[in-house]
Amino acid sequence: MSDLIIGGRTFRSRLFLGTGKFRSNREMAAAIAASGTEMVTVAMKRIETTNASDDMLVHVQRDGLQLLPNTSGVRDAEEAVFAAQLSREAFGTNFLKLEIHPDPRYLLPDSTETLRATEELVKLGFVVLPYCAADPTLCKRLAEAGAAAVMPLGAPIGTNLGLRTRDFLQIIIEQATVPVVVDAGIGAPSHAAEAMEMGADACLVNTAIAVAGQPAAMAAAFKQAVEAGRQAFEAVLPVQAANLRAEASSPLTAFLD
Amino acid sequence: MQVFVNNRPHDTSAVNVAELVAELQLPAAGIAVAQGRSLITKAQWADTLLTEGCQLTIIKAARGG
Repeated sequence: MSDLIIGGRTFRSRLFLGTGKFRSNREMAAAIAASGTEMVTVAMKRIETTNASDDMLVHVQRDGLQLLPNTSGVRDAEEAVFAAQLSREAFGTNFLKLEIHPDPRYLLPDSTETLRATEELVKLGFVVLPYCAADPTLCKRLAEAGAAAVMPLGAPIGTNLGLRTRDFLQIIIEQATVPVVVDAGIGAPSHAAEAMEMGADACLVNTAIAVAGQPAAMAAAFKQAVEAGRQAFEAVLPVQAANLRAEASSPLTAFLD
Repeated sequence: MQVFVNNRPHDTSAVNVAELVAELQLPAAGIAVAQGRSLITKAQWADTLLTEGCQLTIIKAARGG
């Protein structure tokens, strides 16, 4: 399988992992290891002056693991730029998952603010991976603004509904000039495999692994699904028939006559 | 003096950000400090003097997608 290059860094694994919702740091670390991922998200929170413990960072600061800090919690481009500067200072990386979703019910990204923030953050030297609507025009604009990849959603965050935006993802992939990472909504390994078969460059999975009965085992299942999907894409899938008429794959000569 | 860390009052004997971070027993790595909307880089911690009532934001890593 081919490698994936984002922000000048080569990734052999095309599965990116979110670190939210795990029941413990231990389960998270086991899932990261089992997934074979080379990129994990990290969020930011305010320290409590009364409790400086609970450090998740030691579990993700490892050789070969790229941190992808996110801007979750910001409401507009200005706040995103501030959060990005904090994240670069705290984690020592230019990689950034830009996410601006002021709507608390559906957590849908604000396209206008996301584009504005991308333009600004690229100027500041960030490797910007914007979480965005599955909007082909927006994805083109984000790429033109210098985004290192685009991360359109398959379905709202945490819903596990799969690729509800399938037709639009297909257009985004067809038109892409930067890697396409399907983010949000991927709820089962089959969803990830489908995205990869369509030609997505990577999948970002969190909830489906973190809340699984056995997160590490689920992470291993996603690893295989992403690899199988990518392998199928690179092998070139056969064209699907337009109707239900069968086409024989064995010779139809009546050899018993 | 009293400063505000993440909107909470905090009585401190620190005179600069570096001393405050040490007083709070925070690791130097994995955190970021800002005053208002201005980032204070680690290189600036020792030279950034605290003032009575100043508002600081200090963040660290959290699990999140």
